[in-house]
Amino acid sequence: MSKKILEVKNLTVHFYTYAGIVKAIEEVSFDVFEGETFALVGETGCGKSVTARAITQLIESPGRIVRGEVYYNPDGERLNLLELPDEEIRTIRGNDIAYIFQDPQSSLDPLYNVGYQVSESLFVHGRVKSIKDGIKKAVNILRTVLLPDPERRVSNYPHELSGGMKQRVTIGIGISNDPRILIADEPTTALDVTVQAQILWLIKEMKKRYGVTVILITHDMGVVADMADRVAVMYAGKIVEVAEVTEVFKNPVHPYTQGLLKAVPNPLKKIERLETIPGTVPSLINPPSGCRFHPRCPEISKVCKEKIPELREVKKNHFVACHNR
Amino acid sequence: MRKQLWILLLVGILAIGFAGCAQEEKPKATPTPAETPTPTPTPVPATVIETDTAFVVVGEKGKVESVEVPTTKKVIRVSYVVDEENTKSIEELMDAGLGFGAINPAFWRNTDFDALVKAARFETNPELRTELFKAMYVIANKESPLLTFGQNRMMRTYWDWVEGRYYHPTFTERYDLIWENPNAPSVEIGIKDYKNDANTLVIGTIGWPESFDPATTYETFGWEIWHQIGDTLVTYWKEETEKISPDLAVAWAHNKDGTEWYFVIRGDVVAYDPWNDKTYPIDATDVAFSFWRVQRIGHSVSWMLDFTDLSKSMAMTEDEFKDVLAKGGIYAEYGEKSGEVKSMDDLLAMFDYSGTTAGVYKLVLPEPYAPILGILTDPFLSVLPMEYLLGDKYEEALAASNNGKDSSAWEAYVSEGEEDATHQLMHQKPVCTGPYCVVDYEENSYIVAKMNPYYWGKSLWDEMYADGSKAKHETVVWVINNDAVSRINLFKTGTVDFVVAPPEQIESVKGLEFQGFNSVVKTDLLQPVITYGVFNTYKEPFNNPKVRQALAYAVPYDQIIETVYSGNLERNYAAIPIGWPGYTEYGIEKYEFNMAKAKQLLEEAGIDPTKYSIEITYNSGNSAREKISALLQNTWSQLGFQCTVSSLEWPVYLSKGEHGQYDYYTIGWVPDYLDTDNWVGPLYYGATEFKEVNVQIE
Amino acid sequence: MAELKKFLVRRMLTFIPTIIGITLIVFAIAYLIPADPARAWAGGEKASQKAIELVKERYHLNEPWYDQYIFLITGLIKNEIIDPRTSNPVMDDVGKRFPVTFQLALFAYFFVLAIGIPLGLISALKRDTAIDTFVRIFALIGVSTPVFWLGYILIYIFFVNIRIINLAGVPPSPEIVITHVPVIDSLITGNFELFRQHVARFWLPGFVLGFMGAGVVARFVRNSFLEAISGDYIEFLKAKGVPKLRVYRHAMKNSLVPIITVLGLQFGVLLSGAPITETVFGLPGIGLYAVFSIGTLDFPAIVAVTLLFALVYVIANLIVDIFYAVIDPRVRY
Repeated sequence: MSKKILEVKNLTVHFYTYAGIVKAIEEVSFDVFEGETFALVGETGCGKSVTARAITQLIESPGRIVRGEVYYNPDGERLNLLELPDEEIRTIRGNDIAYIFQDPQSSLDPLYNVGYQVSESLFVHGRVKSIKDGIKKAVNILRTVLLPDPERRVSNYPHELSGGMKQRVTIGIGISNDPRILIADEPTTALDVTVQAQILWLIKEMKKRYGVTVILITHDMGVVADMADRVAVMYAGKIVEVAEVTEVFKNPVHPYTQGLLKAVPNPLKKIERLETIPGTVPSLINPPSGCRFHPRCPEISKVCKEKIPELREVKKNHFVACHNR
Repeated sequence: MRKQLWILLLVGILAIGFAGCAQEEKPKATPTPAETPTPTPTPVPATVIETDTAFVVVGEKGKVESVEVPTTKKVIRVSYVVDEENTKSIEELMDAGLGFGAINPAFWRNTDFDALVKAARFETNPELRTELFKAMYVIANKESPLLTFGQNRMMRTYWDWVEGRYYHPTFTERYDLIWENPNAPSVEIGIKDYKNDANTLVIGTIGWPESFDPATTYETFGWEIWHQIGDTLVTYWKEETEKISPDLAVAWAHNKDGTEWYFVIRGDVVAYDPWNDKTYPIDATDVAFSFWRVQRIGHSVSWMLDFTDLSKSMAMTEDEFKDVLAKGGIYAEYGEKSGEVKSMDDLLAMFDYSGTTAGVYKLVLPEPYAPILGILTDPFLSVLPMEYLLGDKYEEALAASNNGKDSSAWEAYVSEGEEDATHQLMHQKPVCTGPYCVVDYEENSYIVAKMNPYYWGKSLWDEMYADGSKAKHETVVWVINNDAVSRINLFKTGTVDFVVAPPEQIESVKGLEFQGFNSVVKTDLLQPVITYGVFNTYKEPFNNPKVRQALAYAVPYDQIIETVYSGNLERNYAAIPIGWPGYTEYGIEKYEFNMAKAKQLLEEAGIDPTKYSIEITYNSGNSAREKISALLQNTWSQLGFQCTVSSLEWPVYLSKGEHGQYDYYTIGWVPDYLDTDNWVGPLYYGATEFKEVNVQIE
Repeated sequence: MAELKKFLVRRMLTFIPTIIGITLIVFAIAYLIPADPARAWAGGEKASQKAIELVKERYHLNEPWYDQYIFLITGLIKNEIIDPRTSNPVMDDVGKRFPVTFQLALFAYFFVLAIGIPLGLISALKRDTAIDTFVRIFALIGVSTPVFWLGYILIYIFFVNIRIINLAGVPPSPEIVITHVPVIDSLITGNFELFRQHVARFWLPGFVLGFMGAGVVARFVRNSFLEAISGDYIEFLKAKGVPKLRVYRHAMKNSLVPIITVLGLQFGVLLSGAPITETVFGLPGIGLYAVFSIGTLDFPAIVAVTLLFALVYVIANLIVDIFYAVIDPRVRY
């Protein structure tokens, strides 16, 4: 049984805007086990990206981490990442915990060539003496991420590469320092379907080769099915269900999860109408009282409006936050 | 790349198109009147003017003799025969752009007046000329082709540690003749090491001299400099305006009718070249060369030489002159003495001169011209060393001209226009014969002159400054700053002794104090500068004298004097300055601001003002004329005219004036030399050519 | 890198047609003015007919426009044309005055950079604090203050009250001429006394002229930097664990393109803002010369000045374009 490498407890992030305080995520808690692929799933705006960034204090004003703890447990030590000062959290980022973002176009600085940017990742963590030295290593990294013709490509600028190639570069940057955790925030959403498959395959390869734990953020249930070991479903800034992937697909418990899965059409069956979840995602400045899903829930009861449901283990390793389960 | 080429092509086509259109649109001077041309006035047998001391009768020969005049005063009869063929029509003159050139700016032609101008030119008797000028003043005043506002008063601003200042209407002071209190403060100027101490005169001024070559200088700054560093044949001493004094010429004489003048040149005069520390002796050949050169280069200042015939003028030796004297018929006047002169000794004795001489210069005039001596005092006729200008070609050129007798030989050595090498040389590196020498300058920044160690007149300084109570100006520095406020700051800090301050700023320079000394602002010096307005007398309704008079009565003179000139304008009623020969108040119209009279005159003229529009123009940038224009628009519209005000850039202003393309404009005149002919000629003469003009006194 | 070279060659080829186009247009406009400049050149209302004719002949004023244009341009380049107003060869006049204006512009530029850029950066980094507000007010004052007003006030302080500067003359150029810019040459040749004199004469007018530009640049730097720092790649850099200063370096480089644009334009603005500054401080530069020559329809001088200004602008833009190409690889088409 692998140990927990990351424990997120009661993570709460608010955004202080002119329109009001946006309660982006409230009391989010989950654990990630070493070596697994943990998927964080939900609609756009449910707070998954915020959660991913909050883990290493990557939240910018007007956002603020209001409360919570994020325990990082590599090899025995137990660090609360949210309490670390600037300089220390900087050494964690890109080194222990690396990120891949959704749009590779906006991840890379257009004025520097890709070799520089890969080498920079090595340089700022002291793995090479100078950027120039790091270029050689960068070539190898680019080869590892299966970028064709890496010796030439290393001096290319981002605008000279295709979307898929750029994403390979960011993955290369991600694994350059041999991280323990790789957080991939919708890594394939901006890419074509064929390229998507290649990138996903690459991530799986990296995982196999380097034994890295992957936290995968996505809204695509197909990607979840392909990649994840365990899944957490988020809605309106709260985790509503956590379970192993097969369990979630076979026995979804929370009404929202059920609605989500029903919404994915089965291409082999003939369907008259697409299934939807009635209503829209609520405003997070004034979220609904009690259970945030209650305005759209088909099984609503009185207590749902009044009390916030907690995550409860309803089956082995299957947690749900619902009053009616 | 392709796109850029297309854009460039488009730009090019546009530019060519513009220029091409401009080619066609370049306007010919169109004669302005669209209405019927001026009806010729019914011929009057003669004009009779009564001055306070005489009757002046002027008219066509054959008619004027029979005009009866009372004999209570002296009668002066002027008869003439017009040369119709050679007299250009007003239209021709407008087309050729000769307004303010061959003909007066108003394109006004009064044949009787023109005859008087010609008469005053060849007559030499000063009293007779004065009567003629008075008659001209009266005619000009009554006909009013020009609207006379008045004469400007000069505003002088300086620190009272400068003493001995004086005033001359056409020259600035000679700075070696004024001095400073020995205790005057010493202030660093900030230009190299120069300091403004008691021995340095620093002047804060604007602009820049047109040139350091006197032959191409026709403005006040250039003339100011040459008055310090040059010598002319004759000059006016300090405040003198009537008596001519010797300068480079120690004595002069002329033939009976005044068409040949002889100037004896002072000996032992050298020109000093401070750039190479060399000196050049000056003699009569240099005088001949210098004068001829002015005409050759052909700068507009040379028009004054049209009164001379330089092809017949020449340099002579003393012996050759003595031969001329011996033949008889040569006269001289100086001070109390006058009479025929038979020998050089007689002549020099008349002028009280006993030093050496360096030749004689003979100046020939095609016709007698009384003011010729006045012209010779002007700095553009400063004498320059031919040897310096021609360098190693000097010997050759001198020989070719037969020692200054045949000036046409010099054409090979001096070319026309400003590309001429001698002009460029003088322009960059001027040499001096006068009390000062320009030793250093930085264009548009400063000019430094120092006392000339080789000045022939420096014994004067020993006399003046012997007792040590006066600090003499060994150095003169002109500091240029075109911003009035900055100049006044230079003055306040004692960096400059004199400052050119605009009348609007008078309060900021009055009552200042610096190290125990006070600032002085003098506004009582009346300058012979007249500001006047020009009517287009060829165009309706200005062709009617009554209309012009009406408009003259509708000018708010007092308001103009107060608001535009802060009181520093003295009224005058025609364009001859107060105190000059010809100025008179006898029998003239004294135009005052009288709207009722103006309206009455318009009725008498029989025109309907509402049918006419008047465009009042001034040159942009001149705030005084702008204000005047606004005031005129106000009052003239009350008469019923539709008046507009517009401004034009200076070159366009001049151009429209010279082509007669205007209704009315305001301008000023500064005299070039001290003779009334320099007023009535340029401002009123109507370009009539005559076959003969005769003057008879009864 | 080969693209860079090709790019530069292409840019420089557009140089000559641009200069010709500009001078042609200015010449054409001057030609359109329906006034005969010959009289003004010959001396104004006191000009004699003979003198006017002479002027017309010498300056080809009776020839068709293309003859005049070619005569003017070739004459200017060979420095054969003598200015009717000042009697000097036109290019000599221009050549004497231009270094003064150029040096003034350099001093002003120095202040623009030294004041504008740091203030802009501080303002961006300390966004929405008191410092930021102060800098933005300063920028507003800088842009709105008329040059002469500021000049008068500072002259009053530094000249009338404390005599530090002077308002007359220009210190001489050093003997050895390398860059033709006296203040740089005297520094390079070690002539410190002359260097001090030049600085003493030019620093205040330079400051006055540059003050306005500093305000503009500060605002641009602020906005450009803020925009750059909110770019998406910044987040990725932080996620990479890049330290703050290095992140700012990335942001700075990305914000350079608009800043360089405005700096390039500023140099042109400085050149044209010089006349008033030159007048107030008594500097014999080209600003006043240009204004006078326009007022007196001095064609040769107008075209000469235009030629010069066109050259300066085109070169400044070329330098800016080269900078772009060096900084931003996407620009090298």
